[in-house]
Amino acid sequence: MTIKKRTIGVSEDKIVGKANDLNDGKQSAWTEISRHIMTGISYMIPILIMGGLVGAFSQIIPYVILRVDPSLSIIDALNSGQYTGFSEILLKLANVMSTFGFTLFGFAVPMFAAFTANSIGGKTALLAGFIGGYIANNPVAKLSIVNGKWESAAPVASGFLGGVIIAFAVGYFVKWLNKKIKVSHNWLAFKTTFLVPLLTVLFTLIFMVYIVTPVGGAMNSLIKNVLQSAGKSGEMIYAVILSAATAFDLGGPVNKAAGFVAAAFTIEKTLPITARVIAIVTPSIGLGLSTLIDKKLVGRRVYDKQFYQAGKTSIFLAFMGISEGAIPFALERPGFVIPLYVICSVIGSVTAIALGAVQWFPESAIWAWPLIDGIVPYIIGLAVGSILIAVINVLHRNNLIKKGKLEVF
Amino acid sequence: MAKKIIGLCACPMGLAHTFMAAEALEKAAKEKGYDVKIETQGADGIQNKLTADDIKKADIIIHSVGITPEGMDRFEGYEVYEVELQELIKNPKGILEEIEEDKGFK
Repeated sequence: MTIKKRTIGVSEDKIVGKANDLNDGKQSAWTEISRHIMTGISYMIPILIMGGLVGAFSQIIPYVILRVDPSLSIIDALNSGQYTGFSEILLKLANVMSTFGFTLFGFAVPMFAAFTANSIGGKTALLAGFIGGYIANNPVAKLSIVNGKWESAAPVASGFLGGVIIAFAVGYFVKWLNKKIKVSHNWLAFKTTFLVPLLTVLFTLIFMVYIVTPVGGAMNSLIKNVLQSAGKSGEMIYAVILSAATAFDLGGPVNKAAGFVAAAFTIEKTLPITARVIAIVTPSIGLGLSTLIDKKLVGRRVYDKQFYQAGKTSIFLAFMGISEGAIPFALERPGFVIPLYVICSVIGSVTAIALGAVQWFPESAIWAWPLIDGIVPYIIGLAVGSILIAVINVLHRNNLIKKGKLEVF
Repeated sequence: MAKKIIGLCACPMGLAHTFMAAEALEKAAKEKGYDVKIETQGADGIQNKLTADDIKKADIIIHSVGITPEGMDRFEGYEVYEVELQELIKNPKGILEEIEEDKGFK
C-alpha cells in the first residue's frame, strides 16, 4: 500500500508508511502519465456516448424501422422514390442525425488532446491541445508541386495517435515555459498573456504540421494496410486483442482506450467492432449468471449473500451495454476472476466472428442487436463465453469451499 | 471536538470507483469518530463540493483520484495524502491508521 504525501503547489511527492516498492520513481512517472491520459479520456467519453447514440438512431430509423435494404444509403433510399410522406420525413431526419453524429465524433480527439494537455500544463495548454487535436483529425493542407504546378493538398490524418503525441508535447512544453521563463512582477502579464501563448501556438503549428502529421499519418496508413492485407487471420488477431483489452477492466481505462481504437476502425469501415461489443457484456452476463446457477450446479451457494443482488444487477446492466455491474465480482477475487473472464470473452468473441457475426455499430446494448449482421452467431458467441465463465467460476469456488479455503456467509 | 477528515474522489469514468471509494472512506472515518466530508467528481459532476473553509479546518486531507480533478487550486499550500482508488476501496481503515501515525494523532 502506497500513500503519498505532498503539499500542493510546493513540494514533490513523499512516500508515507510502509512503502513496499523500491523502484517508486519509475512507478510514479507512469502513474502521472496515465493520470493525464485518463483525464483526457474522461472528457472524451461523453462525446463518444452522445455521438454514438445519435448515430445509432440515424441507423435504426432507416434500417430497422423502415426496413430499407442495408446495401442502400439513406440518399439512395430517398432517390428510389419508394419512401414518401412520413417515411420521407423520417429518412431526412435520419440523414441529419447521421451527419450530426459524425460531427460529434470529430470532437473526440480535440477534447481528448485539450484536457490531457490541460491536466499537464494548465489553461494555455488546453487551447493548444484542442487545436492540435483538431489538426490531428483534419490535417493542414500543404503546398506541393504536382505535374509542375503548385497545388494544395491535405495529408493523411494522424488521428488519435497524433492527438496523444501533441497533447503531451504541448502540455509539457507549456509547463516547461512557465517554469523556465522568469520575469519580474511587472512583466508577469506580458508573459502569461503574450509570450507563453505565442511560443505555444508556434510550437503547436510547427510540431503538428512537420512532425506529428507526417509520422502519425504514415503509421496510421501502415497499420491499416497491415490489418487489411492480413485478411481473415489479421481480423482474428485483431478480434482476440480487442476482446481481451475490452473485457480486462470492465469499462475501466484499458477498456475505453481499446474502445477508442476500435471506434476509429469501425467509423472508417476498416474493421468491424464485433469482438468489442461482445466482450463488453460477456463478463457481466457470465458472472451474473454464476449467481443464478450455483445451486443447480453444485447444490449450494458459492457467494456471500450480497452478491446475489449484484449478480442480477450485473446481468441487467449488461443488456443495457454497461460492464461496470461485474466490478464487485472482479474485486472480490481478482487473481482468478479477471483471467477467467478475459479468456472466456476472447473465446466468445472469436466463436461469434468465426460463425459469421458482424457488427459495425459501436454499441453492445440490446437495442443495437437489430443492426448485427448474423444475430444467431452473435448470440451463440455471447452464450458460449458467458456460460463458460459461470460454470468454471462456480466449480472453482465450490472446490475452494470444499478445501476450506473459502467461506461464504 | 472531533477531528475533521475531508476527501476528494474521482475516477476516469466517474461511475463506480469514485463512489465506492467515497463510501469506504466515509464509513471508516465515521467509525473512528471523525467528522467527514467527501467531494466526488463523477459523471454527475461535482457533488458535495469542498469549500475553502472545509479545507482550512480539515485535520486530514485525502485525495483518491485517477484523473486530475477540477479545482486543484483550492488545495494550494495544504498537505494532502494521495491514495489509489483501489487501495482505498479495499483497505480504508489501514490507510487511515497509517495517516494517523504519520500525523502523530496516536
